[in-house]
Amino acid sequence: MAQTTVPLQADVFLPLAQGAGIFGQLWDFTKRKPLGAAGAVVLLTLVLAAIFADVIAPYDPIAQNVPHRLREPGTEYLLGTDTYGRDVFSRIVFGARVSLYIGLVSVLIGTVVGVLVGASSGYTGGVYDLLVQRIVDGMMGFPPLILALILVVAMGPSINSVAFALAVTYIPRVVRLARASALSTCQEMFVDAARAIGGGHLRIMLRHVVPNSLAPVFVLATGYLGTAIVAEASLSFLGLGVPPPSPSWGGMMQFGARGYLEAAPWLTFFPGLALSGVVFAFGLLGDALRDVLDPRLRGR
Amino acid sequence: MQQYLVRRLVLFVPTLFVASVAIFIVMRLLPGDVAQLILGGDASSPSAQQQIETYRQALGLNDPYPVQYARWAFSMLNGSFGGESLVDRESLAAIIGRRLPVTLQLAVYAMIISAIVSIPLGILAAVHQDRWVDYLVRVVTIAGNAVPNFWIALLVLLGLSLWFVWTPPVFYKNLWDDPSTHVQKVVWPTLILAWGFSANITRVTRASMLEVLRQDYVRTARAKGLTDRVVVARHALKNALMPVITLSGLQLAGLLGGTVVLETIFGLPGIGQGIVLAATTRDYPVIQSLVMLLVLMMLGLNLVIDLCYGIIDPRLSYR
Repeated sequence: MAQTTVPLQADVFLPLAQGAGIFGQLWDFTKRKPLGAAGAVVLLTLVLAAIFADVIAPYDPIAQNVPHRLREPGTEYLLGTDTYGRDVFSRIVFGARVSLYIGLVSVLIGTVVGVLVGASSGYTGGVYDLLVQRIVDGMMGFPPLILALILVVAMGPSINSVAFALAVTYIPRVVRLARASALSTCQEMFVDAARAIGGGHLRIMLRHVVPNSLAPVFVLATGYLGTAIVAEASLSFLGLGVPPPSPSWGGMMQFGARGYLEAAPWLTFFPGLALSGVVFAFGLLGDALRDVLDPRLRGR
Repeated sequence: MQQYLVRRLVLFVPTLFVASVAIFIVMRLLPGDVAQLILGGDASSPSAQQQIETYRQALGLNDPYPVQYARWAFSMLNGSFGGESLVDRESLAAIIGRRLPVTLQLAVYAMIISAIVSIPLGILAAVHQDRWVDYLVRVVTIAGNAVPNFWIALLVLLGLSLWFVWTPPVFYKNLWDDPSTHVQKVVWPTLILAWGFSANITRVTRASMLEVLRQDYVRTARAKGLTDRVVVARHALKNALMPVITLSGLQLAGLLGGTVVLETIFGLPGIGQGIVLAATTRDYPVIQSLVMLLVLMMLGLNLVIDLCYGIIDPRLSYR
């Protein structure tokens, strides 16, 4: 591609209808990327479900109601009940909260730490850069799910240790990207200009280098949000993630798959459907965002 | 080329060191006293305390960490791979000898199937861009990418047992011991892995072909009257394969650690399942060495992919 020299300046953030206001821009995005917009709608639903879980869910997701165990999906229980008589629909709605929490926390920690380390490493260079790169190489040598798994085992399974473990697996990927962006940004005139007017290293890094490496990092983050949600489900499915009775989609699937796969298929089917829908939506939105935000990555 | 090889190999050492130290540290963070966990029972009585102390001594857990690390690292090199399981005292060399072939077979099958399926599909989609074949291929590949493979696996198991009253055999057999059982056991996980795997390869083949088909030399080839088949197969494909090979290598590396969940669902005694089992019993020498094995394979694969570039694309000179 011949476009490798496109400078990542602030206008790359707003290639949509300029000056049309936020709604105008959203409408423009919808028209140009209908699939991406569809993904965004699904994700908005997820966010709303997570926020208003108490209002939406008809039953308590944790309280047991054994006389009503293993009811088939129907009018009373929309998606049936599990072996403890807990409403599957309510658990899926509350599970959205767990998924989203883990996804957001891990991406947030990973992005902040990764950008700071990556940008400073690219900007500073030298021994520090070399050291950071070796550590990043070492961490990238781990299969991501396996690294998360041993970290969760070491910290003991809980929602926060899963979020932290997924952040750690994400950090080296952000560091690489942020470092590469920082290296190219450092060649820009405005960095020289900032230095010429007497800007300190810290100021140049935080005010100029970091903001200009954010677009690709943002695209990566959208993609990783979906990955983190699947990873959480995988870990919980293996029994090494969010411990019961917290409603986690992966945990619910494990529960259903252990001996109730045929007797009560709805226990496995619906959480998996929710998970697939969300990941699919992230994929669609991520592709669209990549096209709009980062012309350098287009077509990959 | 040789210089590049040497430089890559030199960088390999610190990378391995960092990764192994990371595993070692994480394993020391495991909650609870390992010796006490293994011996079990009440730890408060003086005799139990003494027993735990002797056991710690025997396991070498009282040595300083650098000594413990050196002992482990050395044993990874001399073929004993970190001693033995704490649970059933099986040697790690035996565990790896038993589990590695399973994961490797699974990964290689999935790799072969998806290469056979997805490269032609990618070419087909690129040649017929924006026609129904292209749309079909894209929808199937996006789905293969999006749908978590363990959900598919459960649906497949469910469907097979509901409609065909068929369940996979209980025990795993290697291909060379019992081909029929082996095939029945691995066919579904292989196909599911291959789907996710080929989703990406198809996408990249398509994108890469599309780019190459617009190149001048392809137009020249057409202009001198070559048939479509020759243009695509001889001129375009060769040049389009580079990113496909990179991705396949990366994906294969990903497969090594990514089969964990499928191995668990289908009861395949591979490396991933071994790590999960060891994780639930806190069998730290096993986790430590199996994870290290995966890291070794992943880093080795990455090295091989990089070196393959030179063979496929002679234009690249290794600086």
